[in-house]
Amino acid sequence: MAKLFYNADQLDSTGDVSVLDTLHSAGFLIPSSCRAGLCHACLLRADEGDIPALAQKGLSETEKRQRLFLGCQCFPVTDMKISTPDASRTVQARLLELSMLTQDVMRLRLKADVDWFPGQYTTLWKDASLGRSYSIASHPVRDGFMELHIKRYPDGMLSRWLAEQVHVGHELEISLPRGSCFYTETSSHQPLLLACTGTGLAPLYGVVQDALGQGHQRPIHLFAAAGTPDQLYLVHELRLLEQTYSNFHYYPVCRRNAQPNMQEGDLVELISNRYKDLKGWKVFLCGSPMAVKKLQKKCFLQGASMSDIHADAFESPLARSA
Amino acid sequence: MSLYEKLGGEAAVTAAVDIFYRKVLADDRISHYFDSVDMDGQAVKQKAFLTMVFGGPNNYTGKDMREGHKHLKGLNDTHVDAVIELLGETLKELGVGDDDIAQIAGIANSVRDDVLNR
Ligand SMILES: Cc1cc2nc3c(=O)[nH]c(=O)nc-3n(C[C@H](O)[C@H](O)[C@H](O)COP(=O)(O)OP(=O)(O)OC[C@H]3O[C@@H](n4cnc5c(N)ncnc54)[C@H](O)[C@@H]3O)c2cc1C
Ligand code: HEM
Ligand code: FES
Repeated sequence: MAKLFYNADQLDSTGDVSVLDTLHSAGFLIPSSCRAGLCHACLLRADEGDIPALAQKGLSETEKRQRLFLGCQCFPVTDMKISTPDASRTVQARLLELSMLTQDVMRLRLKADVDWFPGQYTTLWKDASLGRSYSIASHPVRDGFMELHIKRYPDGMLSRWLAEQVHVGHELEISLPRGSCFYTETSSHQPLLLACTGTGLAPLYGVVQDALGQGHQRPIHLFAAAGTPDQLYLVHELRLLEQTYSNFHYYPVCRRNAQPNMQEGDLVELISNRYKDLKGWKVFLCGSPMAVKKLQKKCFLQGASMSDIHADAFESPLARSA
Repeated sequence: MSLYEKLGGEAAVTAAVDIFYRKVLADDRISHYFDSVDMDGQAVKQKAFLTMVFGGPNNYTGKDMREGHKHLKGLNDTHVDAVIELLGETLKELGVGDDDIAQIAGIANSVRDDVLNR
């Protein structure tokens, strides 16, 4: 059994419990959110001991050299001496606008003095311990504001608070944007396949507009899936883009009650039947974890290179710990 | 120059992981061991495996290999043979010479007893 040394305390750790959970069980307040290695809220430093590779996945070279690691992804193999790094950086963002895109998807526009690539995500904090990640649909310069699409859950700790307590003009606290779901010029020679469920459209809308804005000439295929037609959004805007750019195609998909200009069925099946050879394609997948992970595997098996698949599973910390 | 450097280091591992992992997932003999939904996590471990058998830097001990595989039910020699076979095919596709392939298979083979927990 490996031992963890944190401040003056010594804790026992079994390899199947994460450092984050071990510290939480012992009563230490370590910030965390996604518990899936995505938001980086749980960043810790190993002053001694081996850091398993998984615990540093997605960290920058600088962060790795500082021996930082993600507490929620660290299953110790040796004794470790751990400390909390200098407070992770958050900034203030002012709410400019709040409107509804569907019956339960909110659109927030924020003014924040930070930079990002459309499609990255930020973490929005209600207080020091309750934060949730949201992806960015807008461009920092072209749009000048940060746009988020947030699904409201009736008992959602963050989304309900936003819907009921937060008003235009309020200052919100957000983490610096991160993540690798964005367009780069290095893909200018590749066809793009983008597929999402629900608010997974937020980052993909950002990526599509950025790619078109950068003059991407190869095909861009966007599949946006929802349960029923009234849960689809930005349909009009996307149809307009389709009319403007001949290489861009928008395919709305519904599980049920599809209208004539939509496809009906399961997103994963539709994609795997239609794209038999994805060699050379760049693939972006966002939204429900189940759909994203299935698509990730399908697309890989059908020829896309692992490094060409960007998958943001919208993990929910409560669903994971349940 | 070490075997790992000769093959091209981390870049070689990155090139090999795509081909190797696709073969593993498509192989009925062993795919069920790798079928977890968390592909990113699996990819990290595939890289660890390839780095190790390429003779690259790693901290794995025989004990780690025992620990890391003992939860895989029914693992036996045929599975190790399959992994080594797919590894060989992968390296061939990448243009690695027969001598180097034999050396890499040898490294994989050297932990057979640990992996099979005997
Ligand atoms: C990298 C990343 C990017 C994300 N981007 C977005 C985004 O752009 N837009 C967006 O709306 N969300 C996004 N999410 C999800 C978001 O972070 C929250 O998980 C979600 O908003 C729920 O938070 P909450 O506090 O409102 O609900 P919670 O209080 O966390 O959960 C309330 C209840 O709803 C259930 N629940 C929560 N999420 C789901 C779900 N997906 N399906 C079914 N039940 C659920 C929970 O199990 C719980 O019972 C993203 C997540 C990650 C990790
Ligand atoms: C041939 C020699 C082998 C070597 C050198 C080897 C090496 C490794 C290494 C280094 C890891 C990563 C450990 C970690 O960091 O967690 C690993 C994990 C794994 N190996 Fe092997 N392995 C071998 C054979 C096999 C075989 C034959 C199978 C099954 C067919 C297998 C299945 C797995 C699985 C499923 C994991 C991930 C375990 C988990 O999910 O935690 N390995 N292996
Ligand atoms: S990365 Fe660990 S809680 Fe989000």
